[in-house]
Amino acid sequence: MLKVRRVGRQPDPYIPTASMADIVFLLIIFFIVTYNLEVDKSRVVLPATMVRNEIPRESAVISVDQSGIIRVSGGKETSVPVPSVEEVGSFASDVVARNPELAFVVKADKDTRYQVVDKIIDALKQAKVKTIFLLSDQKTAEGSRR
Amino acid sequence: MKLQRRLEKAEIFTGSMADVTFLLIIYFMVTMAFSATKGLDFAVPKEDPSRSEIQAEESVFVKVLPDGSYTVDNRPLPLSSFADYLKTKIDPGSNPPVISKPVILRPDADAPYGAMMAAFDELRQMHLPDRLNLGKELNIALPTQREIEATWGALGVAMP
Repeated sequence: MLKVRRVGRQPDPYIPTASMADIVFLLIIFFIVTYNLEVDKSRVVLPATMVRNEIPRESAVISVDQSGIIRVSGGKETSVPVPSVEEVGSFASDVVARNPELAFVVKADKDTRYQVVDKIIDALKQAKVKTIFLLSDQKTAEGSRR
Repeated sequence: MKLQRRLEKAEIFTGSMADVTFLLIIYFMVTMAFSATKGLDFAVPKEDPSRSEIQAEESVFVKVLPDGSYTVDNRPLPLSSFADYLKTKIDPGSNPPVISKPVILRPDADAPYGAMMAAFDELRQMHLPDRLNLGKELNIALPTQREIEATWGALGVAMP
C-alpha cells in the first residue's frame, strides 16, 4: 500500500492554556460571592437539629467552647474572650445601640451546662436583641454531620 | 539588496495569568469559612406595656433534666413520645388541628445544652405532616431563670 506523506511544515503540538484563566476567574468569582469570613474560630461540637434557618451575614456571635470560655464578636471583627457572662450584656447593649436590627448567634458546645446559655440568652434579651439564633449542625437520619 | 526582517507577532503573554488566579483561589479557599451558617431561631417576645398583668393559663411544661432526659407535665417522657402526648392537647373541634396552649421549655441549670436543643427542635417540627400536621406552629416559650423568678415574684408565689 502506498503511504501518502504530507509534506511541508507541521504545527508544533501544544496544549491551549488561554481558556484556563477564564475558568479560574469564574472560580474566583464564585469564591468572592460565597465568601464568608469566620469571625469566631473557637472549636465547638454543635448540637444537631432538623430545623435550621439561614443566619443573616455579619450577625453578632457569642460563642461558648468546651472549656467554658466565652467569646464575643460584633460580626465584622474576630471574636475576643470575655471574662464572665455578665460582660456579654454590656457588649450586646453596645452592639444594639449601634445597630438595633442586628441578629445575634449563640454558638455553644452541645455539652455546655444550660445555665451558661441561659445567662447569655437572658443578657441578650435584656439588651433588647430582637432575633437570636442558636447555631446548629444538620441532623441526619444516621446522626449528625458538620 | 534589502534584507527583509521577519517581524514577530505582538502578543500579551497570558501564560502566568492562570498561576496568579490559582494563587488567589487558594487564598480564598484557605480563609473561607466552611462552618455552619444555619441554626434554630427564636424571636424574642416584644414588650407590651399595656399588658402588665400576668394571667395564669394552661400550658404544657417540658423540663430537661441534668441527665438529658425529659419530663412533660411532670411525667418522664422520651423525645420520641412528645408527639403522642401533644396529640391529647389539640384544641377540641379545631380544624385544621391547633394547639393553642403554650409549650414552656425549661431546661435544668445542669442539663446539657444539646438535650435542650433536641427538645426545641422536636417541638419546632410538631406542626409538620409527619408529626401532628397542625394548622400552625406551636407557641414555644423558652423563659430564662431570671424571667421565671420575676414571674413567680409577680404572682406572689414562692418558686417551687
